[in-house]
Amino acid sequence: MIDFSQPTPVILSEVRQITPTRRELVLNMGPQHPSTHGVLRVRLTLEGETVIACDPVIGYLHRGVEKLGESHRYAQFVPWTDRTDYVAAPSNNLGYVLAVEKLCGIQAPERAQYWRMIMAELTRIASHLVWLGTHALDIGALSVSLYTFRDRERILDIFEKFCGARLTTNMMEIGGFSREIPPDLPEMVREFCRYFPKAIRQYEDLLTENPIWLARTKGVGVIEPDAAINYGLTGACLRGSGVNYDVRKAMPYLLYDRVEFEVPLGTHGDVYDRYLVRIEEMRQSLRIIEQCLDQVPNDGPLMAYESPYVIPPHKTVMTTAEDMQRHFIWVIKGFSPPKGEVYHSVEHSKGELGYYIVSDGSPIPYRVRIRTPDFVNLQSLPYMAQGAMLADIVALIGSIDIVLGSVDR
Amino acid sequence: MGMSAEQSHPNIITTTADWLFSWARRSSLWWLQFGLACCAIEMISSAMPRFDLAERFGMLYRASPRQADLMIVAGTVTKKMAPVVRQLYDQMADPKWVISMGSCANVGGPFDTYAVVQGVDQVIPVDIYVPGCPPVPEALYYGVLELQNRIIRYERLKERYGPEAAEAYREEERQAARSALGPRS
Amino acid sequence: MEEQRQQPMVIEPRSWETTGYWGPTDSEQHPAVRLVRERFPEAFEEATVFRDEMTIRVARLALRDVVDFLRLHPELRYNHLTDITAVDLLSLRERPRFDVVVHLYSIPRRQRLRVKCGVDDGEMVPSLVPIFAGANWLERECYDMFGIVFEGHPDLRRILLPEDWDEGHPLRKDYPLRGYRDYVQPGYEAPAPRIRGTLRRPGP
Repeated sequence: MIDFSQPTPVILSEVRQITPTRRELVLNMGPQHPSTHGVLRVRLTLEGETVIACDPVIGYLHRGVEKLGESHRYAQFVPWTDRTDYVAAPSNNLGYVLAVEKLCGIQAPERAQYWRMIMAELTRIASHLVWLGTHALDIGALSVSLYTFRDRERILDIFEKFCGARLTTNMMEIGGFSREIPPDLPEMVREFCRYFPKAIRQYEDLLTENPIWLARTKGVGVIEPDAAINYGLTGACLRGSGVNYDVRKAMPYLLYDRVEFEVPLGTHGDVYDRYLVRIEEMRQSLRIIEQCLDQVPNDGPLMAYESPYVIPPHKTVMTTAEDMQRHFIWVIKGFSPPKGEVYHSVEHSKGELGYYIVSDGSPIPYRVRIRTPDFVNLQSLPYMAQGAMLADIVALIGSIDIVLGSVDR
Repeated sequence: MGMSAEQSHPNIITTTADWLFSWARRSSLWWLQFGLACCAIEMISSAMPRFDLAERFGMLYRASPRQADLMIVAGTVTKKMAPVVRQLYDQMADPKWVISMGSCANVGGPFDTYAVVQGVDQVIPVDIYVPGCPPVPEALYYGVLELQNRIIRYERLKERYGPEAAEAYREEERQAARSALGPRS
Repeated sequence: MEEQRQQPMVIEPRSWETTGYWGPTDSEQHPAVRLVRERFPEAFEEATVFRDEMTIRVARLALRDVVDFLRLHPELRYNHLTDITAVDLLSLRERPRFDVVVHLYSIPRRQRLRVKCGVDDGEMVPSLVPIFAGANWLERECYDMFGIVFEGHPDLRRILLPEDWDEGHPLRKDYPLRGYRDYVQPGYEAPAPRIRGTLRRPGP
């Protein structure tokens, strides 16, 4: 480990003389910084105000989630997936649960899939609201953050009604949902859908044609489509450059091929286009939620109980001996999925979230790999920061939309 | 303040000044914006319109530790981050308080792994532990209000018996809070 | 909307095996398998299918050439690097110990593919950074977590753990979950002991 017996030299910045007239400053934008959205450290090499090189240092929130996945059962791992990308926890749960269902070869019933879609789209909106709030806050528009968090509280109320928790929801289960949907939940979601377009108009009124916003974000951090594909970017970072890749359209999972929505694309690949793409994604998410609410059957099974990999229903567990034994074995020992490996990805609000699970037939996964979108997207920060000014770095970090729990896992 | 400790009979004007300072100190805690993980989002939510920790309680978040007197450690402290936490704590000016928010900062949370420090109290002394994963903003309020009570007691002891007695009592309260976290096996 | 309500409620459930997102499940018909086998007959080892997923296993030293071929061939065009990761097969297979797994995706053809190669402890894998810029941090993470060295990587150092972490590579199967040492803050007297008991040190 680091030798702490000597006092830590507090070298946070260093000046290097390159030529008699040019000097370089290495500045540390440290892990504790109001604009780094968590514990990200960026070592900037500046010449005056212009950034020459930028080296993001991550790992300050590395908690060993993938190693935890190798020592806990499949159903136990769901709460840890919440905590990787904590602003959009249900999407993380969804990705993991779908990968496990693929491994076991089961599908949740239709009603559960519709509700999963509704919750996933609400999560996308909630995550984009946090993104917009913090991005605008960094660039200087404080009031936008107050508005977005006010609206986010409505979504968190819906989550709390559905599963009991606001932030780390632990919502999705292998096979569907084991608890019945509260009867007033569809009305609550519809109420939100009626209210939210007005809120999006409020944000757009404040920002989209604002000359300060345009000056800070237009032309900043341009990434060309070929470079974006080469870097492996996904999500709004890729679509802001004009590349049409959305996992919901390219490889539909759940019932996304039954609802109509559009995938917004940008043209220039700068911060402004990514902002417009995400705002439009919020609108399209509302559209999806409304269609799902219209299509969802009012009653029907919520869990694929006929499968041996799924927890038995509560009612028969309490009344029959056989299901009580099954429940006991499912909880204490776990289920043994077939041997093999799967990779399944979902369109998370930040990009393509993929889970690669290797199973050796035992109740504990052999390897759980979480392919998080922000980890791969953040690699392009040095490329986007070429020629940028110091203040643009803040806008760039905001527009890549990172959550450090997801980058570091 | 030093004058009043030496005087055996503090006169009315000095007592009122002490009360004023202690009221100001607890009612306008400026906290260091130090969100590490998920609890940070709840901390931000508690400063936002619905829960409004900032305006109602007179608290304000500051980016620089030099300007803050409360540090809310919200989130998991990893071994890579721990020296940074200590450095920030050392940079804060006295008097300073620490609230450890969430289970990760209390005892390491659900992450008993190779990279996580099992509790921020291994790195800095903690006054209030707020449990939860993440704690609801109302729980954070409860912690802040409890901290304000502590500050009242601390200031009162300091003005009556001097700073060493106040510090000793504060250390006792810290130990009591730590042992309330649970048995250590 | 009314028409959708009239639909029969039992719609054919989708099956995981027939999605077609990874190409044909028959390895004789899969274009990537066929073309890689033709072009690299000695490096191609096997092609396996599970659910709808096609996995190609190649020899370690040919990894970069195979991935480049998959990216550039006009019939294949796997131009998006999704993931590079590794699996430690300590208890499942004698040697080689690790599997480096590369997930590729073709944006124009909407098809995914997995390429694997076996690596032993101490052997090097050719790095994919000259082909995909996005491989940079992914390979650094593999090195950090497993200790697999990628030859040709411009800047191979630890990424998630502190740069001078000397306790090994955590995701290996013989590394304990709770680690080897506790963190001790120097100059801070009397921190609280661990609430979950002392760390078990590895054997004598």
